[in-house]
Amino acid sequence: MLYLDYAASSPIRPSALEVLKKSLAEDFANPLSFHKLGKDLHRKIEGCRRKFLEFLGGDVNDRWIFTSSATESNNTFIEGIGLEEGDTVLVSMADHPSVTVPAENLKTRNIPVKPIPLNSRGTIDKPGLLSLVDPSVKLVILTHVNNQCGSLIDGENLCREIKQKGDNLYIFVDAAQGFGKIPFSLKNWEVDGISISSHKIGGPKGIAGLYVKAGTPFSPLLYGGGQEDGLRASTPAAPLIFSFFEAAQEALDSIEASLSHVARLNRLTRQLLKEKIDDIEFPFPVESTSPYILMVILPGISSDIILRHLEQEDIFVSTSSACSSRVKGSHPVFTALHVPEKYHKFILRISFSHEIGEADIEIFARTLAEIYNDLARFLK
Amino acid sequence: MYNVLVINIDELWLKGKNRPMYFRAVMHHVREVLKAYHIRPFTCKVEEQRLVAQSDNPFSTEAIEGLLKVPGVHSVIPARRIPVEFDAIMPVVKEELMSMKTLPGTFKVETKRSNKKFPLTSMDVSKETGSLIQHEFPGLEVAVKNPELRVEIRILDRNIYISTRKMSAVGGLPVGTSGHLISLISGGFDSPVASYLMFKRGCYQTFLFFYAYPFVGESVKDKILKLIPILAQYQLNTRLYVVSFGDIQKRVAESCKEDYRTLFFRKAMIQCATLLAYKVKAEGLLTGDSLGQVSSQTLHNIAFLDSVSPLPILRPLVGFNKIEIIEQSKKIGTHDISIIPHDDACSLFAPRHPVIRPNLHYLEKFSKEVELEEYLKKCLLEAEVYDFSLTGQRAQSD
Repeated sequence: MLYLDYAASSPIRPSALEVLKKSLAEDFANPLSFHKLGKDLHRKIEGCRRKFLEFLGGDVNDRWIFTSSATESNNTFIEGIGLEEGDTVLVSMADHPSVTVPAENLKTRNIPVKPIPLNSRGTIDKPGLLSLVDPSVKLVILTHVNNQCGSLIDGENLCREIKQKGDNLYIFVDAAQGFGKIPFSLKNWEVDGISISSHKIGGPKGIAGLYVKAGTPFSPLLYGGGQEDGLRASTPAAPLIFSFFEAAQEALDSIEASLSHVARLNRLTRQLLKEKIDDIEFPFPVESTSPYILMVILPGISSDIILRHLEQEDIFVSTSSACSSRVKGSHPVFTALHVPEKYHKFILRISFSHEIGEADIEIFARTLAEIYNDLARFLK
Repeated sequence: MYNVLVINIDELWLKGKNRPMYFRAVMHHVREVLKAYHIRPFTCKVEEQRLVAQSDNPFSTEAIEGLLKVPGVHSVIPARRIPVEFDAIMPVVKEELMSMKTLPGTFKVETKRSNKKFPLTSMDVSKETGSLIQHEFPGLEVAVKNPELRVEIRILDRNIYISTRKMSAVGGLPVGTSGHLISLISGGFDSPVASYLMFKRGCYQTFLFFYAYPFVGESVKDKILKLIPILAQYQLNTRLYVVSFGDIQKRVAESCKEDYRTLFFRKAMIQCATLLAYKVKAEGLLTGDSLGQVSSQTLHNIAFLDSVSPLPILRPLVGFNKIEIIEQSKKIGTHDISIIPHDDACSLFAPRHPVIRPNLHYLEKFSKEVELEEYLKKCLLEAEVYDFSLTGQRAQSD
C-alpha cells in the first residue's frame, strides 16, 4: 500500500500509539476527581497544556484548550470572541469549510463577511487584504497552509501589517496543516488564536487544540463542569491528550529534517511526473507552497476516475478535500484559488510525510503515468 | 380493524381455460405477501372469483400495501366481517364513518346480494341503510352519480362484508405467468419504470446491473441497491447480478471507432444479458429504451441490438416521453432514488457524435473481429449476486 493522503489524515506514530494504549489501560480516572488518581492525571494534563503553549512560542498567561477536532477549535474561536452586529470578518474562500462555513453563518446575524483576495499563486494578495482592513474589521481569519494546494502565508509580516493597520482586531490562524510540519512561532506572529490538529501529525483522531492569547475576550461553546478552566466543559480525554502530546513532540523534534526530506520528495514528484506526463500541470509553485501538499492537474480525465484506478493499485490520494469531495461542477475553493473552472474536475491532491521514501515516489509516478497515459488514449 | 381483505383479481375473465393456473399463481403470491407481513394466523380462500383473507388480528397497513403490489390483483377492499343479519350492518357502517378524519359530503350505498335467501333485496338494503346513515349523519347527502363515499355491502352465503373504500392495486397478470426476463437496470429513471410495467404484465425478472468501476464510483451501485428493494416487492424472490463492466468498456473502446463506442457497449450488455438468460432460464430481455431518447435508441441501432440476441428484447417505454416516465417513477417510488446524481458510466468514453445510422459492414466486421463472449462469460461467473425477499430485504447471497 502507498498512502499519499497525509493532508486528509495520517497513520498514528508508533510512539503515540504506545502512549495511547498504555494510557487507555491505566489512566481511567477522571482528571477532575479529588483523589490521587485524578490529581495525578490533572497534573499531567496541565503539564501537556504548558508544553503546547511552549511548542507554539506562547506566553504562560495565554490559554490552551484541548478540543475534539480542529473544526471544533475553529468554530469555538469564531463564535467565542463575541462578534456583534456591525463587526466585519475577513476570510478567504479558499480556506477549509471548518472556517468558511461558521464565518458564513455570521452573516445571518448581520455580521458582514468579506473574502480575502488571493493572487494567482494561491497566496494572500497582501495589498488587497490590507485595503479591506477598516475600523469595522474585528476578525481576520488566516490559514497557515492551505489544505488543497499547500499555499503558505508569510505569517510574521502579514500579521504585523494587519495589526498596524487595524487596532482592536483579532487574527485567527488555522494551522492544522502547518503545525509540526512548517516551523512557526508566536514569538514572531502577532496572532490571537490558533487551531491545530493531532491526526494530521501522526496523533490520534478526536483530539486537537485551540490557542487563545491572553486578554482575548472568549466565551465557550460547551458549558458544564467547568473543565479546561471553564473554556470547554467535558471530561478531558487524558489518553488522547498524552498521545497527541507525544506525536507533537516527535514531529517538532524532527521538523527540519522532515521538511527537507519532504521538499526533496515534492521536487522529485514534480520532476518525474513532468517527464512522464506531457499535459500535467502544477498550478502552484514550490516557492510559495508547503512541500507536504502538491496539487496536480491531469487534463481530460476526471480525477475520480484516476483516484479509483490508483486505488486498484493500492495507492491512495485525494481528489479534493475529503470533507467536500462530493461537490459537483465548479468548486468554490478552486475558484478562490484562481484555478480555471475547466480544470476543477481534473485536480488531484498528493500529500506527503516523512515516512515516504524516494522509491515510493518512483512507484507512484510510474503508476500514475501509466494510468493517465493509458486513459488519455480515449480522449476525443 | 380490518379482519377481512377482499382481493379482486384482474383480467381473469380473459383467460378461459387457463384461468385456474392464473388463479393459483396469484393466490400463491397473495399468501406469501400475507405470510411476510402478517405474522398471525390467517386464512385465504376463494369466494366467488375473489380471494378473501381473514384473520382474528387486524391486517396492518403494510400488509395491505404489500397486496396492492401483487401483479394480477385488481383491487383490495379492506372490509369488516359481520353475520348475515340486517341489524348488524349499521353499527359497523357507523364505526367506519366515525373513524374517518373528515366526513365526505356525499355518499351512496351499494349492495350486492349473491345470497338469495337473504330476506331483503339489494335495493332494500341500500335504501334502508342509506336512510339510517342520513339519520345518524345529517350532513351527508345521497349522490347516485359520483358519490365521495361508497358504502359497499356484500351479502354472501356465510357473511356480510362491509367496506367503505376500495384500493386499486397494480392489476395485470400474475407474476411468472408471462415468463422470465433479464431486466437490465441502470441508476436512471427509465429502467425501473420499464421493470414495473413488465411486472404488471406477469413477467418474473432477474436484474442485471453493469458496474463500470473504476470508471464510475460506488455511488451508482449504492443507487441500484436502493432501487431493487422497491422493485423486489412485485415478485416473490429477486436476484440481482452486478457484473464488472469497466474492463469490457475499455476493451470495446480500444477496439472500435469512437462514434461506435456507445452502440458496442450496448451490444456487450445485450450479449451478457443473453448469456445470463440462458444461465437462469429466462426467455427474454427487458430494457428501458425509449425511441430516439438518446442517439443509441434510433431504429437502426435498435435493429442492430435486436440482431445481437436470439431472445426477444422487450422495450415497454418505447413510446413514452421522458416526462411520462418520470411521472410514473414518482408513482412507483423510484423517482427519489433515480434523481440522485451519479457518475455517468460513459463520461470518459462517450463519443462526441454517437453513430445514429451504423454502417452494416462495420458492425459485422466488429462483431467478427472482437470476441467478447468468452470474456463476458467470465465476468458473469465473477458477478456479485444479491438476493432480496418480497419485502425488499436483502438476503445473504449464496
